[in-house]
Amino acid sequence: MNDLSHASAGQLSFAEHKKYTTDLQNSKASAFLIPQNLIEALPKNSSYIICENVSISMAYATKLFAPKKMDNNAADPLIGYGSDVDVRANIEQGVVIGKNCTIMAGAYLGSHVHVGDNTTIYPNAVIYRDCVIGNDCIIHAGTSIGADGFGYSHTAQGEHIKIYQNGNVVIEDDVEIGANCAIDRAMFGSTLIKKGVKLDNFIHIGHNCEIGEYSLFVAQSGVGGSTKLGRNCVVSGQSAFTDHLDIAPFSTFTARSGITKSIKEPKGVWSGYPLMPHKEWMKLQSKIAKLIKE
Amino acid sequence: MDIKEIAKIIGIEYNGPLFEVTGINTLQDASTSEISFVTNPKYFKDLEESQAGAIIVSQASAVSVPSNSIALIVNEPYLMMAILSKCFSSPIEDENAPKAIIGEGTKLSQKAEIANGAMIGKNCTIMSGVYIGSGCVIGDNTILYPNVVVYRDCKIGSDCIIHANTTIGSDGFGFATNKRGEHTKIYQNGNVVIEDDVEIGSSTTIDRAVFKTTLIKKGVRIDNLVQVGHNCEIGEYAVLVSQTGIAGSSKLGRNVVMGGQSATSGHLEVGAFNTFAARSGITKSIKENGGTYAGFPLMDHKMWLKLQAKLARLIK
Repeated sequence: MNDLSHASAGQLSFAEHKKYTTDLQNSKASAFLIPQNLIEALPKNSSYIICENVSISMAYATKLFAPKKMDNNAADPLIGYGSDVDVRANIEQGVVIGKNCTIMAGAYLGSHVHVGDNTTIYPNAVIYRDCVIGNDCIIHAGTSIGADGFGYSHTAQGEHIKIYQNGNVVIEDDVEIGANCAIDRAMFGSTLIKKGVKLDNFIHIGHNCEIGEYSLFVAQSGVGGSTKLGRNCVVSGQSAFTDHLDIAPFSTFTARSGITKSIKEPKGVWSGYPLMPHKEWMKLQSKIAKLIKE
Repeated sequence: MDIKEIAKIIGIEYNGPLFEVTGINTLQDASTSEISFVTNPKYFKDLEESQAGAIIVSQASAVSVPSNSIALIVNEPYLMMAILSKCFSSPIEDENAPKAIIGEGTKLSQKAEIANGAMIGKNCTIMSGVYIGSGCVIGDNTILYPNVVVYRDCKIGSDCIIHANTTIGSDGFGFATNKRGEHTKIYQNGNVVIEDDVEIGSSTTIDRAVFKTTLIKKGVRIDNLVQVGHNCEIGEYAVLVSQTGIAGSSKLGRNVVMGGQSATSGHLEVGAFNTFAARSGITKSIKENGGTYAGFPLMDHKMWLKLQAKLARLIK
């Protein structure tokens, strides 16, 4: 199962609204869940199921493709030369760990997790199944990588139907992640943390995000699902992004910035919520200060 | 514990009738064998109606203690309650309890730790590094991901999913501060109850109640890095997005949606179907249902948009 633009032959996809008509027409999926009014837009020779509520049917379908929590039939873990894995760490079947890594007590590496060379995973860090971690990374204590993204379809009665998150997280080389961070796995595809990124403590990265090379995140910042940051962004403490944004490279956000719109111009310095250029924010603060004196 | 011993611990002489004290509780919930306390004048009505066997009060409030209760008069009632809370705290583990009961079809990692006296239902998955304390009860089909910690006496329903490194039932943030500014711990002797079909993200913390229960109702969805304080009640199908915080004793109605990094202060009541935009700061109770709010201080979402437009004009 996959989204319209990434699905290949043999996969099931879905379209909810007419706004996805073009994506539907160009999709390579073999079968689709669609509402009645999208039949015309189906690619030739494809199978389809008409759904009253595509979103809810899609959520139920994701469960059919969810992998087991653990793959006990996979090969024994492969641990590279010079790597030190604590006996109290838990390494599932199918794991591959490179050379000279340190995996400390209480750390958990799920089925088919791949870890590169020279990477350190501190106590109680948890890497869910199928996630990939590069070389020279440091993952601090209590961090969770690859837990389910926050995705649900909602019934008319206000109940929430789980959308199973069948993607993974990919962390490239030379990434450091602080303690108690949460990086969610993608719904389909990957949540991607690119080379040289540094995250402080208590940071939330939603499902399907992409964090550009060498970006910095200070403590307690957060990124909503599917948001993409360009390289070398600086995100200061307690800043946060809503979902589905595109942020230009070299953008800097001061503490407590709240980013709700995409940013096209690179190298800006931004502040506040609602967000504005940092200079404007300074000006606004001085005006507000004067307001109090009046 | 004998009432006379209790009087001794809080430094008063006691010559009244003797009885066995079984615990500390709020004015409303204390039974005749429990003691209670009053510190805030706004609880005087509860004081007059309390069933508590004895009530710790200041000299000024002693007159309002009902005739069926004994007044224990001290200078600092809150501090004395804190000191007494330790006497009624449970041991961290209960070694003498029977071996944990694990239901049929439940997959239990050898590296999980299940304390004596715990009960786990059928077809659960308990992954490595999980800790389940004494007296915990877990329903059927529930999944606990690696390193989830459930402190003693907490209850988790059926069909729940709790992600890695989340902590359920750690001590609520409660202490009494004396005149020199030092803090005395108030032992948190309550628990957490999570009803059926609840999903909780990773590294989230749900604190145990000081008395009674922190309650997460059916169908609630909680994201990563969320803090739920002691004695909160989260209504059915409510949604708490990442980095949200709910301070102690606040109650959210059903289907309330808290946007990312939003927060409430303590002791609030929020009506059903209210939605709060990201970063909302809620400091007052909301009786109405179905509203949409934003900002700090909180206001109607439309007002907030208007205010932001005015502020933007200020700069120009």
